Amino acid sequence: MEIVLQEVSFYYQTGGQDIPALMDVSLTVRPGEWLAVVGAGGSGKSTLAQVMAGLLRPSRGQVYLDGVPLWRSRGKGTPAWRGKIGLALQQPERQLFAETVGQDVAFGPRNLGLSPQEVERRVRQSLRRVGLDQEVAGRSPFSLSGGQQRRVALAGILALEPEVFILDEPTAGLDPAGRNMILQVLKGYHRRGNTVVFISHNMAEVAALAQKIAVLHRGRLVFWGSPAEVFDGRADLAQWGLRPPPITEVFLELKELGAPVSPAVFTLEAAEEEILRWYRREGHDL
Amino acid sequence: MLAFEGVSFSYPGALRPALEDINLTLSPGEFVVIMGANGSGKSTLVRLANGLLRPTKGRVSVEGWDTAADEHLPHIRPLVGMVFQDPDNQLVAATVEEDVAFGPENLGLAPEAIRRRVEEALSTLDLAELRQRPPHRLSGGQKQKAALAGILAMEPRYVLLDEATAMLDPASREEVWSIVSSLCRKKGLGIILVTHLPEEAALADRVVILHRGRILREGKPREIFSRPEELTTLGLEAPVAAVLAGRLARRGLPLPPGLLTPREVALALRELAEKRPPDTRRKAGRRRRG
Repeated sequence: MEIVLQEVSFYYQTGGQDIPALMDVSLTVRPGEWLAVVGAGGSGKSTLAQVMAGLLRPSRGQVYLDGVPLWRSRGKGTPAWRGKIGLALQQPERQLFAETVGQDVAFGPRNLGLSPQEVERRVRQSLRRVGLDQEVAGRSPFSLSGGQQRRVALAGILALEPEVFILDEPTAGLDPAGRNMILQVLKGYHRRGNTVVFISHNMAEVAALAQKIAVLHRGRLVFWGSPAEVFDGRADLAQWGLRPPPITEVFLELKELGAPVSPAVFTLEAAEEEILRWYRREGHDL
Repeated sequence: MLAFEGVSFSYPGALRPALEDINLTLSPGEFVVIMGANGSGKSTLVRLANGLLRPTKGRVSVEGWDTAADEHLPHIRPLVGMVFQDPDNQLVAATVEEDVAFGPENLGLAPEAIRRRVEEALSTLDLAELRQRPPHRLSGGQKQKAALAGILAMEPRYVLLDEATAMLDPASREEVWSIVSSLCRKKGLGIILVTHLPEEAALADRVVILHRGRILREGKPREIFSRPEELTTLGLEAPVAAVLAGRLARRGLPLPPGLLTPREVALALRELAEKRPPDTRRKAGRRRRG
């Protein structure tokens, strides 16, 4: 599914005041793309995620899903998108409520009006996809660790089989093992041809995984490009509350010291090879 | 001093203790980072520091006040401030300003003293612009700063931050870091920060590694991160610059040990690159031709 935002603005009302959260944002998310949304706290990322998911109606502008406007002049958004876009809010495990993991994951697909067999199939499949044993299905979600709970929450959304998965800081607050589990789930989902939109403060995962990065600053889309374009050292990231990933910083430092290396390096493997290439060019025998 | 002496703690009904035989001190002006995988006991340790939890065995004391004695808690609580990962549980008032004033008001201070503390805390955290905002209308990072401002307004001697930077954007995280470290260096506050981010840990005076409720290692960041592989087996990470240096060393680059930051690694790499090694093959070739 293609998502197009056309000149979208969104205002929150608080104490009789309009506080702008998004201003004139236009962008296109292509089917199968992995988009990262980054920016300082308060830059409008969470609002953007909810507008993209059809949860918030823009104050101005329009959202198009596969070319069809989502919001008509009157009434609610078209229900056709329901189930096609999955949204995981921040700390989605806080929304777990059922007595067992299986019931929690089944809640969404059951609401889609699927047959009990199909619901059952989807529950099993989603739990497998988030790396949880079938044995967990009978347990209370509250008996699980924080990282496992988050995976249960994601399984509940995957069970809807959405074409687009929008996630607001899916790895925040998890330890390295928990974070890797979540990223594996997303990689698998993306490999199956689906679209991922994720908000993250972890520039290392953004740079290593996303194909496109949207930088928001005070509600405006100020930069749109590939990781290489965002982190090549030319954009003034600090003014947007951002920093390059730590691995890229090594290369930006090297470049500043006059070393002939490319700063567009986002993984340890690529970093190792780039350094060795440079050393070999310098005549080192490695 | 904030001191843990032989402290163990078990949650009721749990199969194994959450913490076992913890010995740890925090002095004013000291910056300690605690790392550990989920379930290693980090949050339990933090909650023992001001008597939110009491040890099952051993003793926790703050400036000599034992947390086990109820009558000591009124002395302990104002000395030890805490900021948690989830600021929503900590923000109570209708506006940021009122929220920051909440703590000092409860200390029974005079109105002028309260106002002074609130102004100071708001300006330290650069929140003056947001003073009239309802806390629930703030971003995650702004909320976390508001929670920290509320703690600072209590003028504590020790501040414990339990993954308090986990939800922040990189710049806010660095901002909180520089605020916290200047509170530590300039005002002499003792700081404990619980984090999963090794880049944060690299800046501490001391790093404590918790594993299954026990202190597994304790030392300066340079010592702790000198063997990144060891941390991986514990479910932890070393700063990525240190990991890269380790991998390059294994590929034959004679880098010095103990490199931690991107800057250090870059400087060491350039220095090494300029030391052009005697390239025997090329010399041999020239000799033949000559």
